Amino acid sequence: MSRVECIREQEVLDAITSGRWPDRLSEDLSAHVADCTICADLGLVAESLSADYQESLKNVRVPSAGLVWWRAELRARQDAVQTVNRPIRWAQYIAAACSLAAVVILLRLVDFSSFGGFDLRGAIGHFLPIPIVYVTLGGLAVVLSVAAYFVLFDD
Amino acid sequence: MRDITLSELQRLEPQTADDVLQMDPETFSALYERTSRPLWVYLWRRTGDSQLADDLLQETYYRLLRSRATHESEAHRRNYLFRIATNLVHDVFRRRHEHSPLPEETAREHPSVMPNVDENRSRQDLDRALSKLSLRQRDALWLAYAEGSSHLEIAEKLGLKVGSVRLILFRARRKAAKLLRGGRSHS
Repeated sequence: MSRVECIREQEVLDAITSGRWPDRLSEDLSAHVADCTICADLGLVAESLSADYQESLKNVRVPSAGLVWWRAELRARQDAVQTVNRPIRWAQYIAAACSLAAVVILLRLVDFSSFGGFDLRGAIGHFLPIPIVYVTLGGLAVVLSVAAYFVLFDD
Repeated sequence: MRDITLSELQRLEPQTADDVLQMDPETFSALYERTSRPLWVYLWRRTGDSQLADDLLQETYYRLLRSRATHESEAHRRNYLFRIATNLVHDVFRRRHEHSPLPEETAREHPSVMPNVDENRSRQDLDRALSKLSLRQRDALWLAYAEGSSHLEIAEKLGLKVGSVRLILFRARRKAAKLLRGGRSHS
């Protein structure tokens, strides 16, 4: 495998930092760079990037530390409130789903043609097998317990 | 269903300032003074968008302040800061499905850092060359030769091994130098 580094790289970098690159190099280093592609590439690339960086850095305007801190604090507050609200929001979704399920079941059980003499057992026996009703009620009880857990306990 | 009570909100208050932000304002201010300008330039030159650089600067410090990572030294914290910034820049590129900022935009977008004509040409050459490199190569080159980071620091900032950094830098330099020489001979 060909070599990826040269022992004189640091000298090239020092020459760039001190402004000696490329015209005021020592004879020895200048001769080395002419023969060493690694150092020649390094000099060209590092000098371009360094000059670009120094130029960019001159007139940069960044917000004050206080402003960045204040925004971070505000954001942290919002995130904390969101964290507290998350279980409550989930409980609300679950409660809404349970209510919807209860309404659907009730609508299926009610016999609107004979509303005066409504027979719940007959209606259940007619529309739904009893085990399904029990499984549904059991499922609702589990969901409500989970919802209660999220509401009453912290994350 | 219940709303958040006042006591819960009060319980939340001290958390936000002291517990959630993992630094006191004085320490943050000192760190910010030392790191914000080079960090902003890094974000700007990597994204080519000054507005985006502003937003990413804020996000970088926010993530640092929320992080529970422990830092052995100031240098380690600085490396961690650049690592957050690098990840944010990569996220931006991933979202955009592109790998290179528009070269000319970089100089145009921020009038306060607009260089003169010669410098602008050099910058365009540099941008054109960098745009042909991979994200990792660009990060490594910038950190090494603009920031002056050591191989170890670059490894920490990019989450790589030192050996990988050497190889990435070598390949990136070779490719960038070739492109720069090509650009200069054309102009």
